[in-house]
Amino acid sequence: MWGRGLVVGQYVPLDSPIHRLDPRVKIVFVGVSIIDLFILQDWFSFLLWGIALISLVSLSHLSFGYLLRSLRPLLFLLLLTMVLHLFFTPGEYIWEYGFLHISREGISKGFLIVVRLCLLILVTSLLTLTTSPVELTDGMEYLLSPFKKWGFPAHELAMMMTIALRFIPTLLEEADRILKAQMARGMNLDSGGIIQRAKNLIPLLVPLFVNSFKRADELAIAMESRCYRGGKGRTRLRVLELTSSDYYFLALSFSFIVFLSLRSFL
Amino acid sequence: MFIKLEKVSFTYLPGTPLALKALEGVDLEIERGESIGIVGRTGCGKSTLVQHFNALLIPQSGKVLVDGVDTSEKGAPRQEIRRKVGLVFQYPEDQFFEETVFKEVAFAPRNLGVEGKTLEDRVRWSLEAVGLNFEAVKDKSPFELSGGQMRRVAIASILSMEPEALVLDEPTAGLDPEGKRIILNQLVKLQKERGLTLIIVSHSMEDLARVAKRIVIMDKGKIKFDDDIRQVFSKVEWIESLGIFPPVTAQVAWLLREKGFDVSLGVLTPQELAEEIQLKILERKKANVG
Repeated sequence: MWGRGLVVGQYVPLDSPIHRLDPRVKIVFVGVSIIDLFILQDWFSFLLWGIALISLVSLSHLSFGYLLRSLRPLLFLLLLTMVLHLFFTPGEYIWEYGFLHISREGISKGFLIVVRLCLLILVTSLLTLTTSPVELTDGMEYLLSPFKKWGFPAHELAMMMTIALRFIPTLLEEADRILKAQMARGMNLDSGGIIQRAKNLIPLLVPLFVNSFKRADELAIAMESRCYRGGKGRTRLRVLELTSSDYYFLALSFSFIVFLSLRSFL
Repeated sequence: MFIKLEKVSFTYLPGTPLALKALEGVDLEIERGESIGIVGRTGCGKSTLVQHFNALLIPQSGKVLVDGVDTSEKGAPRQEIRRKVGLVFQYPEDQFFEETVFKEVAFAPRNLGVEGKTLEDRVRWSLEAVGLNFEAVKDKSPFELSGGQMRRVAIASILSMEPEALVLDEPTAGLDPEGKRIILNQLVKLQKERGLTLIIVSHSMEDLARVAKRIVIMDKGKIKFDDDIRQVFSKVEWIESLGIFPPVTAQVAWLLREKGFDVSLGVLTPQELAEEIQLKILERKKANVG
């Protein structure tokens, strides 16, 4: 009941032009964007990137607040980066106190790196927020399949990822259920010292493992009884096909990225 | 009043695009010693409702009072509330983790600080209360028992806290008929002999007909009906529109009534129905003779 509301990778099932894009296109776009964001060094490029990101988000029908939530778990990292750059960049000092000093270069570099990291996180979040885990692994499999020639297990890897992703909500739901069941039996998670606290987890972990093994067994039998025998010769239910909007998106985004990169090189 | 809910509402993942309203303005009062069945379609909020009874969930608006204590209050004695209102989850055998049945059943009272001879007495009593032989099962692994026995050990592991109310979510799901019968009989016995308050969530109206005196019907997070079991099951057509099908006995009574036999509706057990039919046959015979 609880898991129904919960989707891994925070995927938000909406219907928008961004959601409908081919997952391969989105993955390639995000990959190239990451490289581009590392190349870029100047404020003007980041400003353009910001504008591009805002227009993509509004196209995706997601609320900005929801997207910004993805920054929250990394807030500490961002702050740390900022502080390190502020205090440890040599240059023209504008503030000094004992061994601490802030340089003009430090300020601009710190902000630049934080903005770069934020853009990186937001672009990747946009991918996971608008692409279901199944589409994501499908796309990965397609993109990795050229490497099969050299024995790379693209299908197996994608299948493992799909299964893992598929069972994360199930596992979370189960953990929640068992936790509540043990709480109903008077379990108190946060009592005692550190060893006692670790011991407190046994009533939660043992059932979780027992049930996972049971489930893995059942899944293997269910797959075998449907004649699953690996990737060779398998056809798919959803064949990924590039549509005209995918081509438009590719053309637009690549000219944008190429333009920005050229600008910073020239 | 033992458990009292006032305008309780609860939403999962509030404030996200995935928010899911589970309860909406639920009012409910439960007296000590009652036996209540809670029914409704899958996803109507039954499980969310029962988790409010022992403070596993705290209402986002409204109030839950257990024995006069507001569960949402800061510093409310949650552990004591959970002892008073024992909750047996669906498929409770999934929560087993100990090596022996004894330790499994002793887990809850140990958490409450019960030890030594008292602990052993508690475990013995709980296992016997669910119809198991203490000496025969106490040293077995809970995982090597049969399905029905596992379920009974799971119920015993809650009874060992000596709760004043026992809430069971689908206690007979997935059991064979014999396992079902044993559990239901033991529950009825506990309710009668110890005055235990019973609250049972179930899809099986036959089961509820044996145990419950009062039925609460839920639909889309709201209570749609709350009355004596006979009243509820006599309104066959109306409750079917809520996805609930009365026990076969009540349905047969309904069909007989449609065919012109004046049997009383809301018969619960096969015995009652048989007696009712016998009565009508005798009446007809008399009328024919006369």
